[in-house]
Amino acid sequence: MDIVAGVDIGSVSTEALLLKGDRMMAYSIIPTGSNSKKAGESAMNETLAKANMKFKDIDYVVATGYGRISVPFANEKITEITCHAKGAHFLFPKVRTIIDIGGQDSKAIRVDSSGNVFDFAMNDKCAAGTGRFLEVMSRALDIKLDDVGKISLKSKNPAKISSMCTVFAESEVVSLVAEGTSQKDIVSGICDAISSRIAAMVSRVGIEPGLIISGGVAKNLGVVKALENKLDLNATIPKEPQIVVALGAALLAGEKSKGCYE
Amino acid sequence: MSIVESVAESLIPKLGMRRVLSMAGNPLLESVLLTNMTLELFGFDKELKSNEKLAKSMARYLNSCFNAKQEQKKLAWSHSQPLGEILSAFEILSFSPPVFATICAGNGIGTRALERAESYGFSRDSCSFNRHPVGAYLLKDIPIPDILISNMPFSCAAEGKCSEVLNYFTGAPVHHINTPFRYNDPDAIEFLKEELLRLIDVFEKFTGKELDYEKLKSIVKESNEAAKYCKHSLELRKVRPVPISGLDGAASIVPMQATLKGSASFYKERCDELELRIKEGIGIGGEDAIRLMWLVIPPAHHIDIFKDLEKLGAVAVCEEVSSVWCGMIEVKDIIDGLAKRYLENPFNGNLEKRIKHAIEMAKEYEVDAAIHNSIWGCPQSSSGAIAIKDALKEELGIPTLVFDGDPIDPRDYAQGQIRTRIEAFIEMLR
Repeated sequence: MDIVAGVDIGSVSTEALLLKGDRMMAYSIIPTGSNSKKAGESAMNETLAKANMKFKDIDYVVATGYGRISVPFANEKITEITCHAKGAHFLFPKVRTIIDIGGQDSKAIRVDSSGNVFDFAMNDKCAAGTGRFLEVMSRALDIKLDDVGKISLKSKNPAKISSMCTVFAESEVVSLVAEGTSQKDIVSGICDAISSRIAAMVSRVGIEPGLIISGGVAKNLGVVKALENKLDLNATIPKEPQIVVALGAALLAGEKSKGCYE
Repeated sequence: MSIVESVAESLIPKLGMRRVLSMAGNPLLESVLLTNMTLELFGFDKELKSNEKLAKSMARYLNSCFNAKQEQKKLAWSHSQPLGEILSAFEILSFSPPVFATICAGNGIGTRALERAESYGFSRDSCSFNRHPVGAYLLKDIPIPDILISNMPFSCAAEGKCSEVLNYFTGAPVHHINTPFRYNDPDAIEFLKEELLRLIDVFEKFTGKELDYEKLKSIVKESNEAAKYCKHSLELRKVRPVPISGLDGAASIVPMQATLKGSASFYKERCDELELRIKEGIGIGGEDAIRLMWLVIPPAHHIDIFKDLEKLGAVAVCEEVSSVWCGMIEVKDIIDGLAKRYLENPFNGNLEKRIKHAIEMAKEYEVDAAIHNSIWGCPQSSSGAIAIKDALKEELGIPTLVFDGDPIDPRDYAQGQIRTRIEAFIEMLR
């Protein structure tokens, strides 16, 4: 049985994943940092070490994500949109709508019953509505990024964050703090602002039940809850939402690898 | 990078368009440097001899616009083609600021004019085609207008207001042509005819000459000849494999849009070359290439997007911008003919008309998918994106990729993101 790998180099994190047939052998998630090529290599080496394997054992590698062009050891490069659909469909065959909220962009992907993409949309112009937005806001509030979700769920009266620009929204948050607005209401307002932008983007491709939310921000319950309310749909969150794209890349590597030996 | 390309990259930003274009007319500089430079910079197909003609005639034309004062000619800034024949009949040079902005963006110098306008308080979120002429004027790197003609609403409802702003900066008088939005209203033609006659009055006073209708008739005949060949050159792209790249196909509309003198011979040569290619089975991407329709204006600053598509096995076979300028003019009653062509242009009118045009074009060219490059700050292009996308899906079952990006401002164009979307779209189509 072929051993294949998927490497997803995003703007914030890099994931590598090894598959043997349909069985996941190991994966790793590391920060991308300033060198995409190095991040791809490190994530791959870390995953290989976890699986107690060597690179020569791998039959086929698919690279994806923004840094896909910086993976010299990849046999093929495929966009994260196609990989995402593949990975999500493998985990949840009934998936029809995927929302991916990553570090610097967010995506809405529609898939058919076979897991093929038939439409998608991405955020435009700025980073508001992405993980980077949350990162900036949590820094402004001096709270841990991981705590944003649970703090926001305590709020009954979310503050209004009206600015569309990450930098201006940060000033707005600082003003709210100065006015004495509670931390939980500001955090909840931030989650609301992100979910409003994403809900508008999803509407461009249409929403069908069978919704999954993935990407790093899917770990933030505040955004997930706000989004579910706006879309009036329950969402499924993968156990590890950050590896869905790398999994899809590895699955596609498996298909390609079979093709290689036919 | 070739020597010509590297010279071009350093020369144009250093000297500005005006001084670089002054090479036009000097036989050696023109053929060795200017023409090759244009071909290299835009990445035009050098195998097509007609491209050389296109580059040369555009350079000569723009140079004559820059030298209008010295040559004692009047120059009008007019945003769109429908008035070109009337302007020519009065021997007024017709200069299109949007075409010029596109050429500047393609040459890598669009941003500095935009930044100049912004330093004067123009919002970066406003239309770049309206910001560019102001900035270029303040930088003294655009031909000086003697008169400003605005056609509104036509393709842009903001044109009238922007012409008034340009009047403030340039001091040139402004004349507005009001185009009826309700293009199929029975009174529309009569109204527009009145508007055209009013324009003729303005030009008669402006030039001190009466309109020579015989001259106008002969210009219209010449224009019809160019439109006939232009249309044919576009229609030859229906063939599989398509005989010309998306870049060369889209760019070929410039002479027609700018109502350039001698366009008919360029288009005739283009048709001959394409017919020969078809006969010899030469084409782009093979018979199985994914056929795309490009809606709205492609990014001039990243015009290699067409080549990127071709590397992915897809080729643009038709574009909204190149398809709307080939209307013919009835010569029996020229003013009536001009008004009809004006009204029938798919850019003039409502969204329904734009959708109908996109569907017809998609059918005729047998496209597999469409790309809609919505322009930031442009209600005309962006507000119809999803309606067109839905209509193409519903009527023909073809998908559309919609993304936002400015055609002349590279600062408002997320290249990495757009590349990912295009690659994902092509993966989806396979």
